[in-house]
Amino acid sequence: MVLEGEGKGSSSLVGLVGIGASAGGLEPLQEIVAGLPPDAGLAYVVVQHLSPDKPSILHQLLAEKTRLPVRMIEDGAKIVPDAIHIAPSTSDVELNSESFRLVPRDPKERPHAPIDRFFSSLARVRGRTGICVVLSGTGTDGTAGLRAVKEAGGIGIAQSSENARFPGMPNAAVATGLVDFVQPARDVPLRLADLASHFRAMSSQASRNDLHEQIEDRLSEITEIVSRTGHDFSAYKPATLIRRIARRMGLQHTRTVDAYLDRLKDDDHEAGRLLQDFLIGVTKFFRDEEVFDLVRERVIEPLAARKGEPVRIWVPGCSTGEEVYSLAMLLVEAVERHDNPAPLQIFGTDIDLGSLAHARSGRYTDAAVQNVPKRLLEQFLAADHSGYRINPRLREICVFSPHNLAQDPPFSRIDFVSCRNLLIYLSLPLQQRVIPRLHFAIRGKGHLLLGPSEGLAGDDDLFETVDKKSRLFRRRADAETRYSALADHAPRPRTGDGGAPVNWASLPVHEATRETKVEQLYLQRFAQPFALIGAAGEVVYLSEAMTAFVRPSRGAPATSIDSFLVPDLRMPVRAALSEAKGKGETHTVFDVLVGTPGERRLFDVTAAPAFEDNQFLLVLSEARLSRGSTLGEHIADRDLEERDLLTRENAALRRQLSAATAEYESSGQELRSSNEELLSMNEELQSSNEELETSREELQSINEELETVNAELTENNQRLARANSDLKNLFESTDIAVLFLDPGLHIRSFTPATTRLFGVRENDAGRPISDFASRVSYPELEEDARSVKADLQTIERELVTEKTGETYLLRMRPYRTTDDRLDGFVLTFFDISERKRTEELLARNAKEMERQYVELETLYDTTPVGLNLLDRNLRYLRINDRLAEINGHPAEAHIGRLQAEMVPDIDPKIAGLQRQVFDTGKAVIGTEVTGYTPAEPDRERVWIVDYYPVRSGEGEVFAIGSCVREITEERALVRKLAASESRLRRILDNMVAFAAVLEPDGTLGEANQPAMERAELKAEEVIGKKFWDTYWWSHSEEVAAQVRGAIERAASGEQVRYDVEVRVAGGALITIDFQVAPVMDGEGEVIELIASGYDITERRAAEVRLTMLLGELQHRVKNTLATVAAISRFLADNATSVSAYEDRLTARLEAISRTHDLLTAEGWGGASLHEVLSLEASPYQSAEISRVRVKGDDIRLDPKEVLSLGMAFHELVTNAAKYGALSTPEGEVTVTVSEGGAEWTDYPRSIVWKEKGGPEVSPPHNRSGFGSFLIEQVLARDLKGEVQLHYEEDGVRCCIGLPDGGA
Amino acid sequence: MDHNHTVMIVEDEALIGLDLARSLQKADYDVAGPFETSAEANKWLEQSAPVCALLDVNLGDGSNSFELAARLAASNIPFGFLTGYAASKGHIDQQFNDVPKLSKPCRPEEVVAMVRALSVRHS
Repeated sequence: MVLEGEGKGSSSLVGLVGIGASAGGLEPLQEIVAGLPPDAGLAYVVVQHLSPDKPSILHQLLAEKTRLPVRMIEDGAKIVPDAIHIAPSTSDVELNSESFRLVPRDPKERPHAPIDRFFSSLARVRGRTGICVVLSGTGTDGTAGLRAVKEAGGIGIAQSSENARFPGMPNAAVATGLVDFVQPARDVPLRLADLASHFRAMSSQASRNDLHEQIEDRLSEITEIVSRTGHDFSAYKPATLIRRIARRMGLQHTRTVDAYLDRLKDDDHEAGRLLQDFLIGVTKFFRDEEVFDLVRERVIEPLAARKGEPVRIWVPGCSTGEEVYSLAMLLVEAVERHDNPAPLQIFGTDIDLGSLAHARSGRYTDAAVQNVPKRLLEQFLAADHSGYRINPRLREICVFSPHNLAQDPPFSRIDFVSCRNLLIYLSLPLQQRVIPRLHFAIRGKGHLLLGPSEGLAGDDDLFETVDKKSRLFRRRADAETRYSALADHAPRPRTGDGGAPVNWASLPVHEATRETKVEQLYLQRFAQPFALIGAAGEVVYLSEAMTAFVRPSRGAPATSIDSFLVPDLRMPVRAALSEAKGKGETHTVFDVLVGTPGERRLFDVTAAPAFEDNQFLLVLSEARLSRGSTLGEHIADRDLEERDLLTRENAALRRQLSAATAEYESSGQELRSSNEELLSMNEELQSSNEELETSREELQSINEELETVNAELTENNQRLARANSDLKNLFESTDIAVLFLDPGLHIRSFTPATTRLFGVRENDAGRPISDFASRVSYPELEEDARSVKADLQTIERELVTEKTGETYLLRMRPYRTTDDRLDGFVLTFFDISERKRTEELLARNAKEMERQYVELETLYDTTPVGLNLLDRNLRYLRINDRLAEINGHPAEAHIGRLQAEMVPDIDPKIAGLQRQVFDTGKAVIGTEVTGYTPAEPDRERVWIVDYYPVRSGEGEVFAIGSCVREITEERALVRKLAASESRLRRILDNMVAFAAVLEPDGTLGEANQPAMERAELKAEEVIGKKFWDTYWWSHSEEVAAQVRGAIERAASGEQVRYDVEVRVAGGALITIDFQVAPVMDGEGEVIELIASGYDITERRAAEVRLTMLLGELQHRVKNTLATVAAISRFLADNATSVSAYEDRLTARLEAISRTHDLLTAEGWGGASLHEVLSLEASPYQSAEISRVRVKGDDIRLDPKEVLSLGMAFHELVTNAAKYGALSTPEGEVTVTVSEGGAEWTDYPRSIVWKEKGGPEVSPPHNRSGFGSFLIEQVLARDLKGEVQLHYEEDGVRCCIGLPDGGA
Repeated sequence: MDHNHTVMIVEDEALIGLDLARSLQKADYDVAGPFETSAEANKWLEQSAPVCALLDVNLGDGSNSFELAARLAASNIPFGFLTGYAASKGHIDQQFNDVPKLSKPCRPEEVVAMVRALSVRHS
């Protein structure tokens, strides 16, 4: 087919055709693909119910029939126009916008509905350009999908059932009332081509808009035609209607609105289909869950809790009833919970009778109920073969009826109205009419639920909002209801009554013209009496004037002429009617006299056919007397005429009667003969019945027999099934490979273990065994089979698998049937590899044990431990060489001899123990024995002996085994070691130093006596503690930390030494030279630490003293040198010559030196006055003569006093020797010393130097001489005392007062 | 130096003290002391103030001149130490690290130079 305008269309996709088929679908599919146009621009997708287990060859079958490419759908494959896409059998197919998506099949999905699934996605993706075709098949797959396609504006086609092999699927689709075309498969391609061209024409936006405008212009005409079906769509939203009209036009391939209007006018079916399209309902169970939650909480619960009043709910526009049942479920559930016995009623109304039928049936597909919560599903829906069915309990509270919300009087006293997604189809004026109706319908403060995009159309005063989002409203009880049933238009006739459709709403009742009014007025006031009479002679209508001629008869009131009109009129009217009816034209009976109250009047009675339906207009025309006869004549004529009439009628009735009688008689004859026939037949039937009775009894008995046999067979069958199952279990559980072969060596059956040996699989039964590669090599199979067959003896063989070396024991037995007939062979393969291995293992073990026995024997003989075995009498049963050597006899010499004989010294010490072992049966271990044996009679030896009971098989102790270890040497060694250790301990304890042994982690193991005693510690106070935590270091955390650090360093191999204070008894601190040294083993591993220290407190003190002394010494030396420097400077000032200066200085230095000598000799502890004086005066003192005499006490002087006085005495003596008493032989000096005061001074100690006998003294001219300077100025200062120097004539007198002695 | 050029000398060895005094007097200084003990020096200081002071560190019998030195420092009187110990040895309290020191025996010029330096600092 060539398309207009766009040329070849294969490049663009204009629409997508989903073809669903099941059983019997191949044939129509082939028919369809064979006729498909090559370039329609449609893509075809075939979804066929196929077994997922078997590979499909559908694409091959279809490819043979068509020129179009046929391809299997792969995931993500692009949708290609003018190609046939086959859905794979293993997955379900869905559509993306331009490609296919494969969805793994859900095995739990019941029933599997791939066609619905595909159609639904087709609807979603393609919308109006989606076409679905439902072909032959059983079940209902495709129906829900078709509904979806239709709801999306797509097109549905079903194969007509008369040429479908399995009409279930197409019929279910047709039953929805939504299918656009029902036709044989061979016509489908042409239809598709038409649709494609329509799609193409519609695909341009411009043309579509153009068409829409055209439709809009003529919309009122179209709706008027549709209105004839009894529905008024004039107030519906135009856009929706236009869309649906355009779609119908497409399907009818009419391009102009005029053409479509013609079609509508001519074809009632088309009007019906358009109506159907207008009414497509969109509903489902629990649509908008949250709305339902809210309704349950706010509406249903309160209603369910309300007692005593019936609950009434109304769902206008209920479509197929899902909403009604959803609400019913919630209501019933709630009411049961509240245990409320109130009657429940839920009204579902719609104008679509098809939907209502569906709703009333209460049947829904699996897909439809998937929104129903599980608890409700289980409670209120029952699964049946085609889906689910509403259970009767729920069904009986739901009432479905046709009702037009906009036209019919509303229901009343309703508690809750759910009117969702109905108003959107209505124009605003219609909505404004509906809302007051709902307000009227709802009672009290009942609720109203609207769809999400619907509102109150401005009537906000009638309802108040409960939940804005969910559009739940509450009726305002106080608002005035603006709806009145009385003011409402007359109800239209119910649909389906066959009456003429009258559009009352559009009838211009109130708009009557003046002319009509005049006519009506005339008819009421001045017209002749007239009436409308029905076909059966009933009076349908009476005019005002006619009422005078009505006189109903007694009895049940009726409107038939005979019982309703005045008797005078009855006959003539019937006559006129009969004539008019017979001829079909107006007929008049003239001059009928009618007696009315008060007068008698003459009328002409005219009957005229009226309208079409055998109705007649009856008119009474009053005859005028002017007709030329008196009333009397007229009456006479009338009577005459009536007589004639009666005579005629009488004759006619007689004729009729005789004819009827004749007919009756012949009927009677017929009846009689029939009766006879029936009687005979009855007889026949009677006899047949008896025969049947007999047969029945026979059958009964046969049946009983069969029952018995059946029971037995059932029993047998059960046993067989059990036996079979046992056998099956045996087969499957046994590890033994068993192979059953028939006489021809074909496989009959085998156990699973056999598959390991032969590569047989479950479906290999029947194939010859020789076909299979065996893992065991068994070429002799056939030969063995022959042999078994010949002598019926079992053959056994050992077979080895080549690869793994497993060993099998094969037994081939004849297969005997129960009647002992040879029917093949049974081959049993026992895996004896394990047994083989065990045997080999045993042999190896035996050998091993033999070797071990020899080893043990050798060991017994060569072990350094002495061993023997003694019987109850302590006679040697066995003895090894070592013990024989200890005993000092050859081993053989012992056997059979008593122990007492062989080791007489030892025997008494051990015999008791050995007997004890015999008595108690318990071993005695580790006994030390000391004694002498004949081997070394002079050396005391020590052994450790063990005695073990040796039991016979019965458990009786029949011998004891001895085990003797010599420890003489070890004993000696241990003693030495102990002595050595004790010596070391003594050394350690007697050391001056402190010593301790630590573990590498610092734990104190041992401390020597000095360390413990010095701190007055007991072992338990410190041993085992960390060294740094002990008393010795407890005076300072810092010290303890330092010790810890030292120990850690030592533990890593370092030797650490430093001086540190330790705490000893009484908290005193002493300084020790502390050392931690590691002790390492042969491998350099630190095994312990030795901490040691010795008291260096004394040494420290000595060092301090020494330092002080050195300082003092330096001070003294420096002071001395300074003194010397001072002296030298004084002397230099007065020096006359260098030699004189030298002499004088030397003399002074010598004096100082002497004093120093004296002090040093005394350890600088000071000296006595005598000694100091002697130093200078000694040249003038001898044994015989002493020129310097000392009188009084000798006094002790401190070093400073010694030095000062030493220098002073030197000056005095020198001066005396030069100028004074000592310058002459007879002069002498008296030094008077007193301790305890003198008259001249306050100082306690006094020294008075007095010269006598020398030359006359005069005070020196120059008193600044060094001598006087020293004595007068220096001495007093140095002594901190008093010095007076008097130059008395008889000699110098020097008085020196000293403070209390410091020395 | 116009109104006060008295130098206080504290030295327990009278001969050495007098020698120092003589050296200073020769250089036209007045000398207070030599005092042999801190007590004497303190007593004098209660009445008078020298331009500077020379202090022997070791005043015999285990006493020293540090207390006195601290008093002088507090009174802002400059002073120098004379010591028998080697100058480098840490016998002198750290607070006097900056105090000039002379090691005995010292020459008269050294003494005068030090006093001059000290008295300049004072003025």
